[in-house]
Amino acid sequence: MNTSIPNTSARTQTAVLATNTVIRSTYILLSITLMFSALTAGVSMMLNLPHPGILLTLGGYFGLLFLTAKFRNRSLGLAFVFALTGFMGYTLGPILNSYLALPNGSQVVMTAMGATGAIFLGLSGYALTTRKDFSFMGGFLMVGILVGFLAGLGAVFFEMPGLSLAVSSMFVLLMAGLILYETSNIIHGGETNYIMATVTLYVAIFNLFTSLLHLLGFMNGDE
Amino acid sequence: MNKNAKSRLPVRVQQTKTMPRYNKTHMLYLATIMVVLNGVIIATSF
Repeated sequence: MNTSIPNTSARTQTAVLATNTVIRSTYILLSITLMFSALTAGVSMMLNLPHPGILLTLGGYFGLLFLTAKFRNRSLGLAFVFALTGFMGYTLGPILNSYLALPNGSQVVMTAMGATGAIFLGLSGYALTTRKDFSFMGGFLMVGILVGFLAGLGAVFFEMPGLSLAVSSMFVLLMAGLILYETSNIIHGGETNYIMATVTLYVAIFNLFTSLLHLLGFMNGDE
Repeated sequence: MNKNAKSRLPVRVQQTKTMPRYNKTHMLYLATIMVVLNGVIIATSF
């Protein structure tokens, strides 16, 4: 009876140490990938590279995401994370260039960047300090993203600017929820792979930034 | 007898997870499609 107490405590300690390792590795990899994608976006902007087009973008994103998920338990997975985030940074370059060409463009880009950073830091800090379990949000986020995707398709095909703004607003909330959900998932041992945790947080930050860019650009009357 | 007993052993130990993996992976793929769609929305708004 007495021996079970130290065993349980040792097991809990091991689980906490493993979780802390995943959190540390995720944030280190996330900061490096964000810097790397900022670099590729900067190069893409400086060289004024054209957008690769929707088919190449879809193929590149999904091919690299599939390979990252496939090799997530091997060191090769790291190479695919950098390839994916680098490619995503490259596709962001032409979008940023078109905003910067507008009269108030640099202010819009800087505000969107600052707001994305503040939202991410605030939500991660909240999830890490309170250690609340946000796993209940999984189903809601899945359905929300699906509805947002269908509404986004409707906004593009039927050329409805009001709906596209609603989709962007919805995505700001959904991606904020995804950041909370994924951080809580890492803390509570639901996500033990730091490569997949990094990719999820990166995609959430990327979506948050582009949605805010769209909203702020519209509010400033630039678009 | 011994051979039979060996064949009854479980081949793989089932791992318990807090949530099904497919749900999270699908969410990640959908969020990635939304990155593309967001780009298209921005491109059409100019």
